[in-house]
Amino acid sequence: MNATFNIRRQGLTIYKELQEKYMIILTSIGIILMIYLAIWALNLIDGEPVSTVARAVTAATILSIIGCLAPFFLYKNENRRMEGVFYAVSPSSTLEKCISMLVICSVIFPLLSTVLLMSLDSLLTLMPFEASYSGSIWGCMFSSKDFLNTITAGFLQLNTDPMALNFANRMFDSMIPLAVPPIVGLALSQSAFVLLNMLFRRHKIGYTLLTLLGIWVIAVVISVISAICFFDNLQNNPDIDPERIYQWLITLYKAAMVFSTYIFPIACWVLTYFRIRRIQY
Amino acid sequence: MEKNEPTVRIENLRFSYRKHLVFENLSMSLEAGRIYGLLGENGVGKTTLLRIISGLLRPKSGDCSVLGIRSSSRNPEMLKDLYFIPEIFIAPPIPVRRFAQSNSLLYPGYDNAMFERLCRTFEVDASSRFDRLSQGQQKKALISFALALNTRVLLMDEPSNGLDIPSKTTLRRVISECATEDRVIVISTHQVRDLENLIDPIVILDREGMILNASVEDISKKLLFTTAPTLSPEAYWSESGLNGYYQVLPNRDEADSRVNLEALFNAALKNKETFKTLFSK
Repeated sequence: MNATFNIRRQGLTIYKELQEKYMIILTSIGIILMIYLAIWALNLIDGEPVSTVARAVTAATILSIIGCLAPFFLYKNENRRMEGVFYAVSPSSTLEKCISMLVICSVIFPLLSTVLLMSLDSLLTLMPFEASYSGSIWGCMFSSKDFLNTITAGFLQLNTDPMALNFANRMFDSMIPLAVPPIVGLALSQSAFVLLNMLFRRHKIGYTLLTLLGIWVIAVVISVISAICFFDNLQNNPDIDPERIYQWLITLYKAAMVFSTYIFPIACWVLTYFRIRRIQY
Repeated sequence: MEKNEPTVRIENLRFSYRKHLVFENLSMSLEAGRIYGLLGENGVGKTTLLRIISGLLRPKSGDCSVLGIRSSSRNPEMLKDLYFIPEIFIAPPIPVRRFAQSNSLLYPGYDNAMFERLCRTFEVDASSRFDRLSQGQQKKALISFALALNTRVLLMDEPSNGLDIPSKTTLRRVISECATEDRVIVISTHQVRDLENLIDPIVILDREGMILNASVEDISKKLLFTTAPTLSPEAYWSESGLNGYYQVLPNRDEADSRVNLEALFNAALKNKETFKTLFSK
């Protein structure tokens, strides 16, 4: 039998981990549904109708927050010296353990939580209250075009400046081919949290927040320096074509999207694999 | 694995925790069909050695192979034939029976009927939640599971710790019943009296490595455990009592005596170099 990967062993590993973790998965999804129900109840008390955009953004935010916390609940002990022994000696290869983690954290959990939350939202639209929800937000979660349309529509309601509208439309058009549906984005965004969860043995959430804060500070510093250089350049060349600036910004945005959507999650999963392989118990 | 190769082979093993050196050039082999007793003072590396054999820790240099496979590779082909019972572990919040069902999926030799029988023998309720059992009950549940896996290598770290007196008797009986010709069981313990009639050969570790790795028969051929009214100048170790001196002496006449593990351990610690030479022949 192949020591690195065997499909039967992979299936059994996922099944084994699901048997151990299904209560945590259901509890986390229960929390998501309770939060959404609480927001719905607050909206009812408020009495104002809630737009599809607001609901889609609320749903995506709740799913993202709980989704990012999920690895910390699901794989809390797997890298710990005492608690992780059973995981370490279980007869699956590192690759199988890593794939199993990917399937549970980035496929099963996001898919199940999204489907159940969307189903709850659909149920709530059927409630015969005056200020109840109306319209479906399913498309927003499963189609990148629908989600971007919804967000752009919300932006257009807020902003009427023709230049900003033109810019938003062009950005939207350039984003469409690269954008992934929110459900996929949710799954991809978990990769960093899975890696940091396996990296830190204690105070995982605290250290993760500190790490992300550190990365954010570095990113902000780099962005500010780049912006200063860019505007300096702009002042030195006042005749520069605005079209070139648009193009430059769109290219920059595309590069950032490719990095955050494809390169960064893949890198995180590769690092997670090596982390699992190197952990000493 | 070759036919005459020992089940566990350790060659020139070096291991340290940062600056604290635990093993330097440790070599030994463990053969099938035996129940090894691993003895040593606190901190000599008994648990570390078991963790290295099970692949939980990676040696700094040298080699440790189990069934012909390097243990640090955590190869599933090796892990499916090995189980490690840690001294302290965190029981998962699931019923014992479900723990056994999910964790046994990847072990081809698992015998569920045997697990249920062992649980009854140890008077453990397999339907109870694992984490809600007392420490002793948790240990008995884990020992029942580990024995029912029928792995060729079973490593037990202080299995009798936390067990009541009747359970220790049951433990001895159960382990001796489960010991088969193709199985090697390694028991690390401080409670030598608990397992005195069970373990053979005996391995004694010290801070410089291994003092001895010898069968009880070999030990009784080389050492005489006796009580005499006067203290022999040749005694490796002695203890005064009401009947005179209980002593460990060189067995020049190959007289029969019953190996007393506590006395052997004390004698070995007091005469490390002599014992190393005596048992290396």
